[in-house]
Amino acid sequence: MGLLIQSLINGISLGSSYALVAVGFTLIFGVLRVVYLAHAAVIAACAYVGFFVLRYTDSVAATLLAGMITGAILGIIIEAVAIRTVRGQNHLIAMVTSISVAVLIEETLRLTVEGGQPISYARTFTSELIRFHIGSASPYFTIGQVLVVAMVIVLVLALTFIVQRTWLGRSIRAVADSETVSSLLGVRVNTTSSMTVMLASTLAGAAGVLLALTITVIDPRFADLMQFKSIAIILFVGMGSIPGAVVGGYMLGFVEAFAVSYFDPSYRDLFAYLMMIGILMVRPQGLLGRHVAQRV
Amino acid sequence: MTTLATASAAPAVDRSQLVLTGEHISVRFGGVAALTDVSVRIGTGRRVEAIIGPNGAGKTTLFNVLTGVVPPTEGKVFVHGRDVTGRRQDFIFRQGVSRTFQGLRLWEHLTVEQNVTLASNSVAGRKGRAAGERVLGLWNSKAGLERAHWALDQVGLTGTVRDRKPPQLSLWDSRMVEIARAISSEPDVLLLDEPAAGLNPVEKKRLRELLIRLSHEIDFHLVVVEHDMNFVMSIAEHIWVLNFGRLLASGPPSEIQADPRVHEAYLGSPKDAKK
Amino acid sequence: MFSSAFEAFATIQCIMIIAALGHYLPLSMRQLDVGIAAYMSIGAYVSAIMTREFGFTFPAALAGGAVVAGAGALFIDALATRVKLTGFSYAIFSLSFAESLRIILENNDYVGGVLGFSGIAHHTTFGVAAGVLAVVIVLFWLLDRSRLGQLRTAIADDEFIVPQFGVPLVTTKLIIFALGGALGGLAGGLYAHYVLYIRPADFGFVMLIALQLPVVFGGLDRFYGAIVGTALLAWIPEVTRDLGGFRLMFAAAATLLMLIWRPTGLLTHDTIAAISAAFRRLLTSLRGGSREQERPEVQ
Repeated sequence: MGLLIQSLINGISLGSSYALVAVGFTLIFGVLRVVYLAHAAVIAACAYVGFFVLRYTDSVAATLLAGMITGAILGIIIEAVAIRTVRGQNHLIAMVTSISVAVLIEETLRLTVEGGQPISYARTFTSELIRFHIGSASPYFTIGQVLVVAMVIVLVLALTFIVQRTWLGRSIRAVADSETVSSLLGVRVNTTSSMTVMLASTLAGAAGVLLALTITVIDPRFADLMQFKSIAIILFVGMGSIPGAVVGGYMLGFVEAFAVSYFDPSYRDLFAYLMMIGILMVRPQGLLGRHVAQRV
Repeated sequence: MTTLATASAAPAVDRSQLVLTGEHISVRFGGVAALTDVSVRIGTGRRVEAIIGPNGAGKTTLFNVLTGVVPPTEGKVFVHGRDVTGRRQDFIFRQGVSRTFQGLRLWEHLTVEQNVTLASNSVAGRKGRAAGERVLGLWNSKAGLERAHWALDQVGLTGTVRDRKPPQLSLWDSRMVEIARAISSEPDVLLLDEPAAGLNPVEKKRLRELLIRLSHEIDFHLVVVEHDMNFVMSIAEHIWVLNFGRLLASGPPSEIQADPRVHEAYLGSPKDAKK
Repeated sequence: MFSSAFEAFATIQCIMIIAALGHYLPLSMRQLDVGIAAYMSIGAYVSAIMTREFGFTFPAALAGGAVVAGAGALFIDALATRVKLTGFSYAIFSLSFAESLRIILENNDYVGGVLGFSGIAHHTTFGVAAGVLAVVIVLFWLLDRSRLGQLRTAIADDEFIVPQFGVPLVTTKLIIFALGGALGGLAGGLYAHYVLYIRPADFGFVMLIALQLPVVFGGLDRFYGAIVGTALLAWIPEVTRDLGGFRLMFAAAATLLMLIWRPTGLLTHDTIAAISAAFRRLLTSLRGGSREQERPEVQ
């Protein structure tokens, strides 16, 4: 019984992490439909910035703010350097440019902070445990985990509103559908793209700080795996759905948490990979850009 | 005026006489019907035929069905009486069906000669194959190279032009490469998709003479999709008219030219065409 | 002959270039099979097991590793081709297999699990690595001139019309994919018998990036691009001594700048054509010059 409850809690916790990463990532990958693999690097960079801010201010709020601002700035820079410059090229080029950016960021972190060794966030109120007792078991969670769940809910509501109801959201979806037509209709493609990446990267900044507060020990690559799993999640729930990305994140979190509790923990990551393979074999239609019909 | 009888009323067709037939072909993509119940029969004493119709009528889609690019939603395709519906393109090629594509589609980074040998080494079933040649065609054979040279000779591409690459060629030479590539397997049926597009009147006349000569010398049936009515009327012995994915009419040029339904579909062009 | 540090560097580079050429094959057809690190992994483990556990000779082990890796590539790519994956989906697909392999290896005690496989005999010397690389380069040169190579170019230029001219497209692509995988396996076998201790983590994202970025940097039109790209991006940081630890960063920066400026990569068809034309002119002028000296003009 205790194991079940703890697994549920772990599932929520894990799922929240995935949802937090996926919700920003899907804005670029799922809605704008750009091959983009630098999200994890942005998350890590913002977490590192937050590390120093926390050390000097002891304020979680300031850390969170710093992380988000860092994300916004990085987002604008990355869009201008690595996305706008290769817009319209094939997937391989988009993939390799974003990977290059990710490597640049992660290597910078590695070379400048502790030689790439993991660093520890200072203890804050977010690490406070809340333990409760059920029968003979005493499962627990942290305040930080609650914060993350709350944040995810807020973000999903906000983002869904933006994408569905605002001018920006409409512009993003228009550009994803067809750049040429959108620009002919007056949508400023560059601005839209820039704002999308900036928004997503701000979320990445928040995610980076929150994740760091939760897991406390981070290294430059700590978000890489979550980014990859986000791709699996987005494929599974269908591209373009923000609530879907979050729901998918929780689903994966639960599957992994229960697998770890009841089966072999060392195979935890395998689920996402098998899911990915399975989805692609069953629903392989073009991931990004519309399926370009061949004119013969 | 020739109209095609419906399937139930027609006598059993002796397909062995026909080189290439499509029977009651329908093609639907999602909600769009590209072709509806189209039947064409190529062969039996007619050497050069044409498929005409306004833009979007389904001419290229019909080609795609006949060559295996697109499987028909309904209907069947026969080559030499053999059911090839839904078979792969390379299989249909080996049955003796060859084609060109709309627009210029040559491989830019291969030379003229290599563009042709790519096809001439993928040996066609009967005529094309030399004794002992294998069908998978993963290596270049001497016979393949000879066929390529012969095909290039037929279209007049000799000398250094063979080592040039498509971006360096004139439109006429590019078209000739496409034709050489298509005939290098000594096909039984050659389907040309808008071969005269972009050519001036002098070149069109040359093309017409070339195609007629080739169809006799190499003994293939030629099917041309074209928009230029003069060209079509001057070359075709039999014309199939498509409109909105359906077969509107079929018959010799004189009949088609006089057919009011065809005029209506085209809004006036065949009437003005000179013989 | 060379300093031992340089020899170590050069040996590894020969191995990496072989792997890069293996990665080049699918990429040149715009098929994003990015499993090259996994193919290296297969080759490394299979060949190491063959020599350490079963006493096979080194050449046999190398061949075994290459064959199994090629079969692995064949399997993954056959599945991917069957469902007609393209672009980024293909990359994700192959990457998922690659990472799954890593997890399975990490949990398998027979191959040493996370702690890896050690006690591998030192068979790969600089001579061996350079020799194998030379043979591979010759084979690529021959491939360019063969029908298979021309088919590869045609597929890269316009895949859609290739089957119309009698080419069994899927079979052809799979053969090329299998060759790419086999080269990866060959490189892996050489690698294992050089570093003498391999772990599943050695063949993860870092290895993939170290191979992929230089190949794209060098250009996908001709195989020379993969060689030059890999060599340059490794050699420049090595030579400018202080950049040693910055190698990956240098590769990333160089690749990013290259793709922004010149998305086709460093060496394109035209570049190679221009170089070989210049080379031919040089040869004819040398030959022509000396001939004129030998035979005076007859009036």
